[in-house]
Amino acid sequence: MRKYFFIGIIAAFVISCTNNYYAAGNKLSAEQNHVSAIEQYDLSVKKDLNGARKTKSEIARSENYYKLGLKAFEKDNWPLATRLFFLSNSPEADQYLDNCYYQLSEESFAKQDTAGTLEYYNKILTYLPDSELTPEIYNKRIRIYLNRNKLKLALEDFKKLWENYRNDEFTKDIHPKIDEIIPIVTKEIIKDRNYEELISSIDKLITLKDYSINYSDLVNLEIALTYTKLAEIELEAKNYTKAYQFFLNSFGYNQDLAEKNQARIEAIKDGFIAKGDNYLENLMFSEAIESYKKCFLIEKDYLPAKEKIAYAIQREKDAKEAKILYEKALESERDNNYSSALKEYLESKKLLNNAEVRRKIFEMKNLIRAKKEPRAFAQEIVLNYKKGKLANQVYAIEDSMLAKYGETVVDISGWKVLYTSNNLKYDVRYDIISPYENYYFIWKVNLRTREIIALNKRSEELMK
Amino acid sequence: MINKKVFILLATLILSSALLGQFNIEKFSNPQKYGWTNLQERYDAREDLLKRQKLLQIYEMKKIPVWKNMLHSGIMPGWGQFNTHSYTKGQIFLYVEVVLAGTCYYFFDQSYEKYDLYKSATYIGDIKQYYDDATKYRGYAQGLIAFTGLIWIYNIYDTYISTEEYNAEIWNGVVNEFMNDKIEVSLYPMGFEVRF
Repeated sequence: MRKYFFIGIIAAFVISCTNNYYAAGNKLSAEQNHVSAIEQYDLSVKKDLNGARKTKSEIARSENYYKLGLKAFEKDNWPLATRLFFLSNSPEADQYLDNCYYQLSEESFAKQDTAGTLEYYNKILTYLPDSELTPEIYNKRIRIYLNRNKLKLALEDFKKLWENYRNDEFTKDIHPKIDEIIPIVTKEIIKDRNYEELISSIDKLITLKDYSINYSDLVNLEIALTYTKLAEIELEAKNYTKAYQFFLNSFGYNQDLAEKNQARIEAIKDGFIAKGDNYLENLMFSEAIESYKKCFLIEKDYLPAKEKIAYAIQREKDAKEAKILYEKALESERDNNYSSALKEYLESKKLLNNAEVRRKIFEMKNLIRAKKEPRAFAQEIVLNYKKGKLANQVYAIEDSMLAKYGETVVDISGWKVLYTSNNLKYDVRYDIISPYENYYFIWKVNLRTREIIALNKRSEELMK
Repeated sequence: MINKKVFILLATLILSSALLGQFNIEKFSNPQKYGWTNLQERYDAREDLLKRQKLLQIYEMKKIPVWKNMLHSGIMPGWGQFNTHSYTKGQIFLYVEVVLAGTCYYFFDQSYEKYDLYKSATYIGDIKQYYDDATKYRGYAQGLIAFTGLIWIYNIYDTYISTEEYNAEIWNGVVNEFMNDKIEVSLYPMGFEVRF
């Protein structure tokens, strides 16, 4: 019998060696001895080999901290409750933890400890985002920021309120205060000058516009102005598409500026068209088309530009054909076939009416005439010079001489056309001779160009 | 005089132990006692616990209840070890217990046989010899029973240890499988869902 008793003792010893802190913790917890239970759970977490039991111990430990926290909370011992709920680390504990932080923040606020107050607010807002106190805390923090003139921080907080709790009473309560600072903040924002700052200021202003109650027009104007500034910067950099987009963006914010910007866009497009026309005038077709095309960077299907481009393409085609005809005409001219050359020059002129072809036509007509009756043509050139200016003056001198000296004394040569070494150049003379005074007029006439050159001083004087 | 000294020594010991054992609320409620220096670390720890908590249900399904396994080993030595896949140990316990029980039976049998011969013996020399033999074999048998019992108890204790280790391994396996492989476990009142 004693042997069996001995065996029983050994068995009891063996079993007792297998210590279970988790079970001990559960027993103590059931007896409401939460402190000792937590100590047992701590030992379990520290020593137990079984991870599952450790996990269970951690869960049970959390529950026990929560219960202890509740007791401290009921006795308004906020610092202790805070610590215990913190250690509980459960969603249930967090539902009280935010209240504890809130109470502590109220105490700090009462002591005018702003830093401490903000620290508690920060704990709630950062780590307990699901707290029902969040809108109220934001509201209070905004007030502190406004009092300390930290407008940027106040706005950042209001943004969160606005985005997440728009219809909350605390949001509505602080909204007028935020509205009051909008003109100041707007001024701050529009201080930014470089491109990136302007871009970021647009976002800021649009956000600000959302918050605005009484200053919508002011913010809208600043948005429109900022877009206009950006558009001008892009114009400067010749990024017309972006510039146009910025101008378009500005339209929705201010009617007056929208009209001005619309006019500005039209002016830019007109500028491209005018420049293109100028190129076209100088037969710089590809440059003209490029200029017209720039209008599409502003307005994708801008009709006048399309028409201008089509016209420029046609003009380019005509110019090529005109050049071929011109070359052909030059060939005919070199062969002294002036009629054919004239015909070809005229056809070329129909396609491309420029000074050169006009000159050539003029010359061809002259040459045809010169070839046919050169003397008569030379005389006709002189007679028709400046609507008969030369002839009229010559005849006036003749009449004066006749009146003065009589027909018998005055000898008049009449118009005489003389050959020169060049078969396209003739000398045309008119002499009035008397015993008292003589007049010798002589001009060299270029039949190709109808150019007249005076060959003596008297003749030259008549041409003036 | 000696009694007074002993009394002072005892009093000092009692007082100091009382002081040492005094509850330190600051230490007990120290927010950093678990290594969470800020709320983010605390939140991370909670997330980790939550993930592990979800795995407990899977663990509970896979684990072997310790006391049930000990009972198995109590009924048949080595059974519990077989359950925890410690086959060699289970076989050793089983064979050792069978051999010990067989040997024990043999010695008891021998003891009863010698005792029967002792009862029927008429010669004084035989009577003494048979009695001594019966007593010797009985002693052997009783010794072996005690040894078998000790092995049996150790077998149960070993089952406890093996089951604990086995369950710990089961937990590690579940954690590795579900936490490292990004497998999602969702808990519902009626059960759980595992998404791969």
